[in-house]
Amino acid sequence: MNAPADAPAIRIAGLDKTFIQGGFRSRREVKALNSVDLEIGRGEIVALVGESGSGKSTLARCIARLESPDRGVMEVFGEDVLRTQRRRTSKAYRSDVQMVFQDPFGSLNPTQRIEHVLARSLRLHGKAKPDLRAQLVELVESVGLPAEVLGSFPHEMSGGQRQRIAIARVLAVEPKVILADEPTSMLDVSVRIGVLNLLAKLRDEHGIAILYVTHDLASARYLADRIIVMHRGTLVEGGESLALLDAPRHPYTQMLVGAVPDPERTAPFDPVERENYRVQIADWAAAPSERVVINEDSGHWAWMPKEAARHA
Amino acid sequence: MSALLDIEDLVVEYVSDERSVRGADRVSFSIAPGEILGLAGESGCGKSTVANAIMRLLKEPARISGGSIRFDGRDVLQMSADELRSWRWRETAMVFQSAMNSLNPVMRIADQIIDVLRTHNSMSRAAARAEAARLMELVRIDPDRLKAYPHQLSGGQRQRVVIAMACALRPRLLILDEPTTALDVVVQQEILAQIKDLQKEFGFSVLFITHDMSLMLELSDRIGVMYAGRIVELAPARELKNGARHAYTQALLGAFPSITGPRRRLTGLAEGTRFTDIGDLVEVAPGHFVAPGDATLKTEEL
Repeated sequence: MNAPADAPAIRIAGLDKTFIQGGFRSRREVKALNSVDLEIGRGEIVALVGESGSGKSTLARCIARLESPDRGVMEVFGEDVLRTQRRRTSKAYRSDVQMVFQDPFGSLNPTQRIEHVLARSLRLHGKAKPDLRAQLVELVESVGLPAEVLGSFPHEMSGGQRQRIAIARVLAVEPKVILADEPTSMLDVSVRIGVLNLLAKLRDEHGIAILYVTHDLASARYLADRIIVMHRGTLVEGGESLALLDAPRHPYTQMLVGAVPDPERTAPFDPVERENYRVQIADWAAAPSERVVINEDSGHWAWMPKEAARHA
Repeated sequence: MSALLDIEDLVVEYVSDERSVRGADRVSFSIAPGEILGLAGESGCGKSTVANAIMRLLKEPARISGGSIRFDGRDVLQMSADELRSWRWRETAMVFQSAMNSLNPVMRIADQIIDVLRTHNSMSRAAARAEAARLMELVRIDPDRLKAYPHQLSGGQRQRVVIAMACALRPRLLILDEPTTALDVVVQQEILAQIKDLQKEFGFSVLFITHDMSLMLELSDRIGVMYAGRIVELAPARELKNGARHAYTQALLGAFPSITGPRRRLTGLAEGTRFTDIGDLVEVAPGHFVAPGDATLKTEEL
């Protein structure tokens, strides 16, 4: 891609996506993405958090071009991809932007050895070198697995190992952006941190930008430079991870933070407070709102009603 | 106080023609009346096997090949089919993993709850209906929703209905197998709070099974950690959190980043780490038991 050298990895503006749900009588529109603006810097890790159905996977799938947004602008390293590549995604795009899925059990061909799975990716994208074996060994070692796994079939490996292979396959094509959609939620808890550490390493060593999609706020805080919170298709709050979670402004973020299990918590769960949050979230969603900067230094902003913003 | 549930040296084997695998291996623990005991561990560690063994729900190729399970002095393993029928649900109820999908999709919620009440109690239909409404209020669902079919409720509401049904006969022990795993954190917290409320109201004991240590620490009085069919550590929740002795327990606790405080690097369990030759539990402090073994925790080199 020939693009300005200082353009961010991803720049999205006004992205909309509506799904039609139901049939003849119950037909209704669901706004999965509602005028989404998002920027991911080169080598930056951004976490996109929200509950199931908030639209976070849809956004990742739009960036991966597995879904087409209804309208909006999407630039990848400065190139307006929705306009220039309207019909189908180029191989170059697929190389640059790669996706890691939730289910490492479903994403690897069960009839092929790992060696074949990885070699195929290298060949398809023209990245295979003359000494293919050495290249494959380097690839599995870079994701923390021994060279022996190359001779294994997917079913002979644990979930954590399979997810590492899925990441190695992504690495094979030398991506600049990785979209990781709940990459650890189907793994055993004791190996989840290892996969997160691996993603951090890819950013540190290869400068890969990562969009980490998760419902787990604590892991988002652990891995990401910045966190963006999504509620029913709208980005409601964002900012540097620690600053955002220390002082969330949007009631939805406040409710999410309060719901994270915390053995240190002494106050019992308060259903009245929860109900108040829900009411406030609905009020905020209905009111004409604007993006308000809370803290310039940490890039902390919130999508809030103009009325509330005046008092902020 | 004597234990409500007392398990000693329980062995469950999964037997095939060539070999047998121990799903639970000499597992011992007890639960006091009103106590919440957590059983933690990852998939395949045997925690659900233990729960199903208590309920006598294991099917071929699994079989209980050793040990004892006593409930209030009665030998659960010797109960006849008739005794089991009246003991299950009335004395010990279980909420299964993804239980919200266990509701009958073509029956109204009211009919399903009334069914449970009338099968186990001689109760008039009107009395059962009133009791169903009361149960719904206990789990904070509008009794009007009794008219609904399961698909008209959210996942969280369905899970609550299932928990309400489990409590319908006022059991003395409630077994919860990953009761919130498929739910969003917000709903998860509401359901846990409800379980606490119900526990306060009815005073039953709870066996709470999950892989999520942060949830477990929040809810449980005591926690047992299982690995490869064995209990590797058993201690009061506070003590386990601050002074875990077994390397596997430490790894499980270290797998959860915190939502507060400074950000520090965690390591988790390295790929391929195995613990073998897990010994019998030894009491290292009052109420704190640890299994000795040759386990050495490799820290991850990444």
